[in-house]
Parts: sequence; structure tokens; C-alpha cells
Amino acid sequence: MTARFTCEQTLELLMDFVKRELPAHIAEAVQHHVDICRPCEHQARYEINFVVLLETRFGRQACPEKVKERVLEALRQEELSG
Amino acid sequence: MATESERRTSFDEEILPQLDLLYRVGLRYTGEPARAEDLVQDTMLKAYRAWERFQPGTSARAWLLAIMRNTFINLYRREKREPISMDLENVDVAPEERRNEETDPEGAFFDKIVDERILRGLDKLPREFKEVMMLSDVEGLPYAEIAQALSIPVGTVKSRLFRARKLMQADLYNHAVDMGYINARSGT
Repeated sequence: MTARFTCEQTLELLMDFVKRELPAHIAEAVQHHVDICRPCEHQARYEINFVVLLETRFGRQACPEKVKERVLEALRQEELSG
Repeated sequence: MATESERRTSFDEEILPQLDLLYRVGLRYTGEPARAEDLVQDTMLKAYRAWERFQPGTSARAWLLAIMRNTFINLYRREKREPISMDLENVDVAPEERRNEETDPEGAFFDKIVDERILRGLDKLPREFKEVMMLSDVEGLPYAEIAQALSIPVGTVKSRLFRARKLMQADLYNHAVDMGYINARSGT
């Protein structure tokens, strides 16, 4: 049976919930509360949207090719001298 | 004992896939592409020289990020540009507020904010908050790996992340109000 959390307990666990760092049975209880509590659902969506914003805007920037080449060349020189 | 060639091969397999992440984190540490490039190169060379000390089966990401962080901090100390240290526990964070009565309770306004403004908000955070937020929310590292990379307890990772998020969310919220993307909270 899924545990029942209050709004306060849910909000305390929200950051870990969004990061998927909760044990399954706790995450299930948070999800259950979020499903039935509109304010907490909004808060959860707010937190998720914030993380998605950061990840999608900045988490996909690749290291420029010229930097990769520079690093590889530096490693080659280090290997030769080692 | 591994030959130099074998050593290089194992290093390349484990470490080179982390270059993109290193560059992104380096950019946020330094705030400048040219300095980030130097930091990435210094980090990679130090990692290569210390490759024997890496323990297989542990997180190469966390190991590498720890080297980058130490390199960056030492660089700052040498240049005497270390920011003034802050009492992080007393950084003022707005109290938790429920957003159910606002016009945009789910934070859709985030989509309207341009990248540059978001980065400015991130860069305004104390370094200790910024690095946790970068590793957690931009790079998606779990708490344990962040703790390992920064040599701090998991509890400290969580409290810094909580405060970082609140500070940055408040900054972006105020910006969104200033820009007219959303209406200010009633009564504030």
C-alpha cells in the first residue's frame, strides 16, 4: 500500500523526487500526492520545468573541435615526452 | 606494467568522452571561452599524468571534475582572483512559496527568458552554489557523484542545490516580472 504524504512532506521531498533520487516506494508516495494535490502538482511542474530549462539550454553544448584538437595534441606531446 | 601506448588507450577510452562536459563546466567556472580552453587542457594533462591513481570502476567523471575544480581554484589563487568567501549557510534565500495563486504556477515563463539572461543568473551565484547546480541540473549528475567531485558530503550537496535553485528561481522570476512576461505576485 502506498504511503500517504502531507503537502509539507511532499514539498520537502520534491527536489529529490525531481532528481529521481528517492527510493521507489517513497517516490511512489510523492507521485501519488502530486497526482491528487493541485498546488503540489504545480510546484512539482515548476521544479521540473526549471531543471529542463537548464538542461536543454546548456547541457548539450559541445566542446569545440579546435579545443579537442588542441587537447589531443597536448596529450600526444605528453605521451611522447613520457 | 602498462606500456605508454596502453596507458594512453585506456585514458582515451575513459576520459575523452568527458570533454564536452569538461568544457561546459570550465566555461561556467571561468566565464570566458579562452580561459575555459586553457582550463580544459590543464585538467586533461593533469589527469593523464595522474592516470595511475584513477581507480577503475569508480566515476571517471567525478575524478576528472575534482581535478578541474582544484586546478581552477589554484589558478584563481595564483592570480589572486579568488572571490571573497561567503558564509553560505547565511545566504539569504526567499522563503518557500506556493505558486498556486500566481498567473504562471508551472513556470512556463522560463521558456521566454533568453539564454544570456539565464547564464547571467547562474554566474551571479556563489561559486559553491553554481558548481552544484551545474553538475546537478545542467549535467544531471547524481548527488553521490557530485559529492565525490566536490569532496563534500551528500547533505551539503543537497542544501547547496536547494539554495542555488531558490536564488536562481527568484532571480529569473523577478526578471520575468520586469520584462512583463508575468504579473507580480499579489500582495508583493
